[in-house]
Amino acid sequence: MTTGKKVFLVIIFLVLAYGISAPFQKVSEPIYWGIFPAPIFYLLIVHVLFVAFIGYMVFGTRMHGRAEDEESFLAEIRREKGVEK
Amino acid sequence: MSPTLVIVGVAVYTVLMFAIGFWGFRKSRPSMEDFFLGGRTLGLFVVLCTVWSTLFSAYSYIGLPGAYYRNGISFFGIAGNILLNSLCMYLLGSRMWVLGKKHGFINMTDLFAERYGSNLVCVIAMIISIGSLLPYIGLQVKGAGLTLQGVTNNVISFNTGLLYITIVVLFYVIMGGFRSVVWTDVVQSVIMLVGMLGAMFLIADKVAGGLGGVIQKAAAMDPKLLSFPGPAGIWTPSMVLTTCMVVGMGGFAWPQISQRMYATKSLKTIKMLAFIFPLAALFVNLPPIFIGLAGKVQYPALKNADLVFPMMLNELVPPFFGIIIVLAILAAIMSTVSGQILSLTSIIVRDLYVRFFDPESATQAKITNLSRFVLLIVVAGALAFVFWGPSTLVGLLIDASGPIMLQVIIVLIGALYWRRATKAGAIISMIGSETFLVLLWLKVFKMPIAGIHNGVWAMILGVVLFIVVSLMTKPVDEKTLDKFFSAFKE
Repeated sequence: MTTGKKVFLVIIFLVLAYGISAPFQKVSEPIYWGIFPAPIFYLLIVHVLFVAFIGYMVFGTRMHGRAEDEESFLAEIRREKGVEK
Repeated sequence: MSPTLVIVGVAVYTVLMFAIGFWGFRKSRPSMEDFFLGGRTLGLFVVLCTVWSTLFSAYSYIGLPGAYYRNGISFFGIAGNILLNSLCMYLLGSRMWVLGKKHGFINMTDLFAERYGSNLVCVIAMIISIGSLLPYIGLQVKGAGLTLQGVTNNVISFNTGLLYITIVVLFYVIMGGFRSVVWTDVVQSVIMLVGMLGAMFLIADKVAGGLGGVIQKAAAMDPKLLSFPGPAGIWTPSMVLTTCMVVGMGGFAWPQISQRMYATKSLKTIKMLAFIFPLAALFVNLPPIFIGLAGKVQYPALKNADLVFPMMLNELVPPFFGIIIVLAILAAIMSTVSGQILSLTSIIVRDLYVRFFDPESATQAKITNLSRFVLLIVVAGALAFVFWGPSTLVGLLIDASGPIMLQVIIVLIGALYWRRATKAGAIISMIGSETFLVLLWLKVFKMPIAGIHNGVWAMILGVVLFIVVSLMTKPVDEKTLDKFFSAFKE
C-alpha cells in the first residue's frame, strides 16, 4: 500500500471516529421513521459508513502482505513444517 | 412468573447443554490445540455466534436497559465501541491468525513471549489477564444465582442457582473444551436473539402501543432523554469516543475474544467476521434503548435503574415468553463464563505450566487432562475471590476490566506492527500504565481535562513509555523479527 493511500485511510478513519463521538449534541428532532430520534439516526449512518470503511480495508487493501494469498501462504507453512520434521 | 414453568424451561435447556457437552467430548481429540481452539476449524457462522454471545454478557439484558433508563438515548454513543472492536479483529486478529497458524500460538500471551523473546512480558500479560477476568467470572456466576432466585421467587435459592450454573458450565467445558463451548454458544446466540427482540416488541407494545409510542412518550416526559449529552450531561463527544476506545479495544484484548481469532479456519473468515460483526451487534445494541425508555415511561422514579428490566419481565411479559427471556439471560451468562474460564485455563496451562514447569515431557493427553482439572480451580478461585476477596480490589477489577486490558493492546499492536518494539518497552508500558490506572481509579490523581475516560489517560502514558523505552533499548534480534514479520511482507 502506498504512503498516500495510508494517509488517506487514516484521514477517513479520523473523520469517522469524530462521527462516532456523537458531535451532534442537544439535537433531538426530527424522529426518523417514527422510531429513531435524530442522534440515533445519525449514529446509525456513521455506523454504516464505518462498516463500509472496514469493508474497503478488508476487500480493497492488502494490509497483511503476502499472507493475504492464503493458499500459497498455507502451502509455504506446510512446506516449512515438513522440513522441520 | 410461575416457578414450575421456570424450572421446566431451565431443565429442558440444561439437557440441551449437556447433550452438546457430550457430543463435544465424543468429537474431541487429546491435544491442546483441539481442547482450546477446536482444531482451528471455525467457519464464519459459528465464529460470529461465539464472538457475539461471548462478548455480550448478562449486562446487555440487565445493565443496558438500566443505562438507557438513566441516560436516555445518549448511552447509544457507546455502541460505537463495536466498530473499533471489529477494526481490531481485522488489523490485529488477522495477523494473530497468521502467526498462530505459523507458530502454533493459542493465546495472546504466548505470542508475546516469542515476539519479545521474554517470559517476563508473557507473565505480566498473564497476571493482567487473570486479574481482569477472575472477578468477572465470579460476578457473572453470582448474577446467575440471583436471577434464578428472583424469577422463581426463592423457590430456587441463590446457592442452588449458583451451584446449578457452575455445574452446567463446568460439565460442558470439561467434557468437550472449545468445541462444546462454541456449539453451546451457537444455541445460546439464538436464544439471546429471540429473547432480546421479543422483549423489545412485547414491552414496547404493552407500555406505549409500539416502538414509536415509547419514543414519543419519552420525549414528552423529558426531551433530554432523546438528545446528547443526556439528562445527566455525561455523554459529551470526548467521553463517548474515549469510552468507545476503552470498551471496544479493551474488549478485543480480553483473552476469550482475542483467542477466537486463532480458532477460525481461514484468514478470509476473520476478514468477513470483522465486516459483518458490527451489523450483527446492532441486534443487541438497539433493543435495550426501547426497553430502557419503556421502563422510564412505566416506572418514572426508580431508585435502582438496573431493576427496570426484571420488573417489566415480571409484570408486563406473558409467562411463556418470560421463560425465554430468563433462558436468554442464563445463556448470556453461560456463554460469557464458558469462554472466559476456558481462555484463562489455556493461559495458565500453556504459559505457566508448560512454559515453566514441564516444557519437555508434557504430552498432549497429559496437558488436556490437566486443563480439565485447572478449569475446576479457575471457577473455584473466581467464586472465592468475589465472595471473600478484598472488596476494594474486587471493585477495582470489576469496574476497570476493560481499561485494564486496554493497556495490553498497546503491546499487542507493537508486537504485530512495529519491528522496533522491545521487551523493556512492553514491560515498562504495561506496569506504568496499569499503575497509573489504579492511581486514577483510587482518585490519587485528578486529570486536568474533564470528560476523558481514565483508561485512555493511562493508555496515553503507556504509549509514550512504550515508544520511548523501546527506542532507548536494544532491539529484538533480526532472526526473531523475521520469524514474525516475513509473512506480512509483499
